[in-house]
Amino acid sequence: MKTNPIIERAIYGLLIVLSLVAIWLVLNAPANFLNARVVYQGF
Amino acid sequence: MRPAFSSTRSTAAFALLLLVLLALPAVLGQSWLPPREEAYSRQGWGSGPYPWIENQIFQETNAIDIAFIGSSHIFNDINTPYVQARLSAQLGRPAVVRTIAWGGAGYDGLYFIARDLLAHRRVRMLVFYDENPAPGQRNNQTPAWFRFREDAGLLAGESWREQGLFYCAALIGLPRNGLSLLRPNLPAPLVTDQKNYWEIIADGPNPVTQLGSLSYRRGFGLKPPADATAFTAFQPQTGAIPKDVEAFSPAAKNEFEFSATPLPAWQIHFFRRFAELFRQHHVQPVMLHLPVLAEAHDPVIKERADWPQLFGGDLSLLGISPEKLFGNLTEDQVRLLYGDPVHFNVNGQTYFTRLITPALINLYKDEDQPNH
Repeated sequence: MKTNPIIERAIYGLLIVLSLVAIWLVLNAPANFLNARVVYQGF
Repeated sequence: MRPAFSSTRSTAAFALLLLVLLALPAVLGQSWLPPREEAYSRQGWGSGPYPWIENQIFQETNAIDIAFIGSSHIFNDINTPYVQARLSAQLGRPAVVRTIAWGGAGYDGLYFIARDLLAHRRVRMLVFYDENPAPGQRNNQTPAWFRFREDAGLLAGESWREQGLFYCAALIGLPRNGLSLLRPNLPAPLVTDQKNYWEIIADGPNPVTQLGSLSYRRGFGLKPPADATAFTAFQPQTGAIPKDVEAFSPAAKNEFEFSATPLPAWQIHFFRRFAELFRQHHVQPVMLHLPVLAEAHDPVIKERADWPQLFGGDLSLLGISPEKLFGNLTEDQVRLLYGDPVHFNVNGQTYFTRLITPALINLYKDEDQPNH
């Protein structure tokens, strides 16, 4: 089944935007948010 | 090269999955969050004595006369049992003095933990200090105590970067919140036959037995405990007396120096939120200057901002000029008071607490004694 090219572009567009948002969220956060489970990161 | 997705449908499914995951903190209702207590009981000893903090906020119910609250400097610098003993003697009744302290500076953490404390216990006087994290550092437990559905409104007026930072924290905290909703976290025992993290790090007693303060019994090191030196007990002989402690006022303003460098906006934002808590709960605010090694020879008390003005009124700002505090001590003798460049060890803690306590007690207003 052939998908409408406009819908296909919209889906890829959405995926790119969401990926960029996710990457920005991670890069914007301090590194120690992501390894908070490690026992102690220093004061 | 094989395409990342085999069909447009699988691309759409992945995009939808990503959308749902990213949106979860915003769309899940309050009923999908575990009780607030779980933000503390999910944590162990490592980033702060959280089992003690959880116990003090959610288990203990009596009123607190003086609570010291904040991150590592107040954890290390105040001998809480000493203050409690002196206040009890002054009041003629058993006083309740506690330290609620953790690792990782920041006015955001201070605001959230103080808010939880004041929501559950009556505190008459709350003592804090300037929460100044290293550049780029934020409290690594933000994903535990920031929950977007509860506190998104607090971020109004913050920059996009700040809002994104907290949203990311809420995302990271989400899986554990879900698990805590399925089954409660068992509170960690406060006292065990195995030493907890802080007993090992400090080579000292369990902070629980010190009413929440740390007795750090190691010598100076730049990055302890890896390079900590052997501990030497030391009682400084200086001319410093409790009357050298200054409370900021127009008359004593020459003893203080406020930096003209603007504070980061997020620090001002949460400092003001924190200040509102005092007014809401009718708590007496006291801010302490806790000296670090680098300022050992300063003749004045240096603060990063005009805190009384930012606070908006009745804040007592207390401190002692480092020049008076350390008097004629040599560099090596001053180092005997510190565990690292910014935290007192038990020598410095004992010395500093004895000097500062009379001023704290003098400020304390006992509700049970209307003439006080």
